[in-house]
Amino acid sequence: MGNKIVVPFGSQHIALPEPVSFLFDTKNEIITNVKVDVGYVHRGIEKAAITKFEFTNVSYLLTRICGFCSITHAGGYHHGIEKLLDVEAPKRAEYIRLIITELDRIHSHLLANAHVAEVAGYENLFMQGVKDREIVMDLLENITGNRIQYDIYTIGGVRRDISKETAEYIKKQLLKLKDKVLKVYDFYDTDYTFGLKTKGISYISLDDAKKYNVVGPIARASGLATDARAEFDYLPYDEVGFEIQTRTEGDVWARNIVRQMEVIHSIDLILRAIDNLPEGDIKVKYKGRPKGETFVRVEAPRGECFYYLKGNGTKVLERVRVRVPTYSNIPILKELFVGEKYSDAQPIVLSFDPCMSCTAR
Amino acid sequence: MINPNVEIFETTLEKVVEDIKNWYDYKKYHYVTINGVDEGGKLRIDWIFADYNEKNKMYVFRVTDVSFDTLIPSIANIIPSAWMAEWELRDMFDVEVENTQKGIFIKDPNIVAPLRKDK
Amino acid sequence: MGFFSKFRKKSPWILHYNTGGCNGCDIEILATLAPKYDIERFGALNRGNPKQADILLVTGPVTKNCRDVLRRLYLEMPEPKVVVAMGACGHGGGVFRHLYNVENGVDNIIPVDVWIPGCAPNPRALIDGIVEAIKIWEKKSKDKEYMKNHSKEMIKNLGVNDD
Repeated sequence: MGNKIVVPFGSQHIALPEPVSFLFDTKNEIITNVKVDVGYVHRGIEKAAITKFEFTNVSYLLTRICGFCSITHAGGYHHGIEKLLDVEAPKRAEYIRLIITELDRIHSHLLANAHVAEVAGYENLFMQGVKDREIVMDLLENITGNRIQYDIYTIGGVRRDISKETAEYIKKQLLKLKDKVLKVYDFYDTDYTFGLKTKGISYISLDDAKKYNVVGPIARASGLATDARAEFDYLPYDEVGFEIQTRTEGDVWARNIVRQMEVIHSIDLILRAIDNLPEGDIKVKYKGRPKGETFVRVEAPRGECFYYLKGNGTKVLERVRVRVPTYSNIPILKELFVGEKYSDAQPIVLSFDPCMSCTAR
Repeated sequence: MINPNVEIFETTLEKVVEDIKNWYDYKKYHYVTINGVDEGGKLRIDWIFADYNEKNKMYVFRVTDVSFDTLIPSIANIIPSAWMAEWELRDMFDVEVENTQKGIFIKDPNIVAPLRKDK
Repeated sequence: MGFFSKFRKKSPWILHYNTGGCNGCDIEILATLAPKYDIERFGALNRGNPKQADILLVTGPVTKNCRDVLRRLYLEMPEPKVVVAMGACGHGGGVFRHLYNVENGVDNIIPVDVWIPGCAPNPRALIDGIVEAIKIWEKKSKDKEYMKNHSKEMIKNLGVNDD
């Protein structure tokens, strides 16, 4: 009963900001098989990082892997290279790094949630979410000078300081944002029709999440408490009181709620960090060339991002390996589609918040 | 400064799948990725894992001196999400890996093994 | 002023395609569609269908895997059409210039009318670029005017002269 119809989704599609292509085999609107092509954005950044750029400039290339998590890539690289050069960044710089990283997470999560709402049929909610997000973009522009590619990390510290007036401004704006985010959170939590479209769709059990090594908000929505901020010491998250946010439902709805909870928690973290901003320098000088190898794990908005760096005592590194969160979430995403309706395919893809320019590099 | 606590298990290409199978417990450990490094004509492959509970802890299964024409075993039947890294390894170094196809990232036939230093 | 060109400029619909950039430009496009910058003031809407689009907004340095898709999208769009290349990597590749899988910029594949510089361009720069694109598009539209004989009554009602 029913004919097999192949429905393409991507590489160019209204719901996708980036090129990725899915080919769904459908039978009576139920998906029976999926083919996925993630390679559209492959540019060859890992090759360029070990041939064309010196270790002082590689960061500018690596941040251009992805616009959403540019600060994560800068973080992964700089924490590694500081280990190889044996430089310790001052405390104030670490706090400023933390503040920017969390602001980046807020804007990424707000956009991801808004996007899920849009493809579930709530265009107004999308506009609301992106409007709230402008507050954060404004703050980022205020601190770093750019809205997307901040490049605030440098080896041994940060480029710019946060002045007293800016700190006050951040606090004022974030409190304003928190009110707005809580209102939207209420809507996601309680709205009946939004629940109909998202609850119970693409369920991942805790066991599956562990078997497939799912990371990020997708894992935390299934009750798997994994977070590189808690599992790896790279920024003073312990000092500002970081806690892992989890839900147990494991569906599209829970992923949205986890992201919304993380936004609220990130606002709290930034407020605490600003209140306890240590005095002192923001940069130290470094000498020498990177030598040896190191492993780094940092938490991107989408999950754990892994860096492997190897230097050989010259200006050019020998190997840079980047493993990004979406890369390890694609295998389970591929399995999830089977048995779902085609009309739910867009919310499922976007609830994973896929970042293809990270995946293919 | 970061302080990763990395435990390295040196092993050989024949034994690596069995070693990982005996050691790996999906409830305790977290597969991260497979990484290849060209060490002057020879390939070094790392299978990298992390711990859910212990802070800063990472585990690496390391095989050195792999020549580019040997068949590399697949761990995709132990860890179902490992296929992507294996396909990428094949594209980037032009080595044979079990149960993989070419062309996840590089579709142009003129580009061969970009991460190998001799090409 | 022609019949179609007068009304066509009120609704320039955008087709957006990322050809392998860092998606920084793409989030700025989303921000520009949203309330603060609100590009809908100019009648511009983001539509995913090349057959309905008037302005092709391209971001990224054009990877080899995206090249054919971009060419096909351009050919599928109806005349008159305008191509806007956004971001530093659209201009000859930017930081990705001469990487092995990159085609060094949009104009190696399709003709470009408007360039928007910056990494990533500010939404204000994007609005400026779109307004510029609408002007070029209007001019192209006049040159391509093909329907000449509308009914007299209709022209009288609309208040435009046929050209």
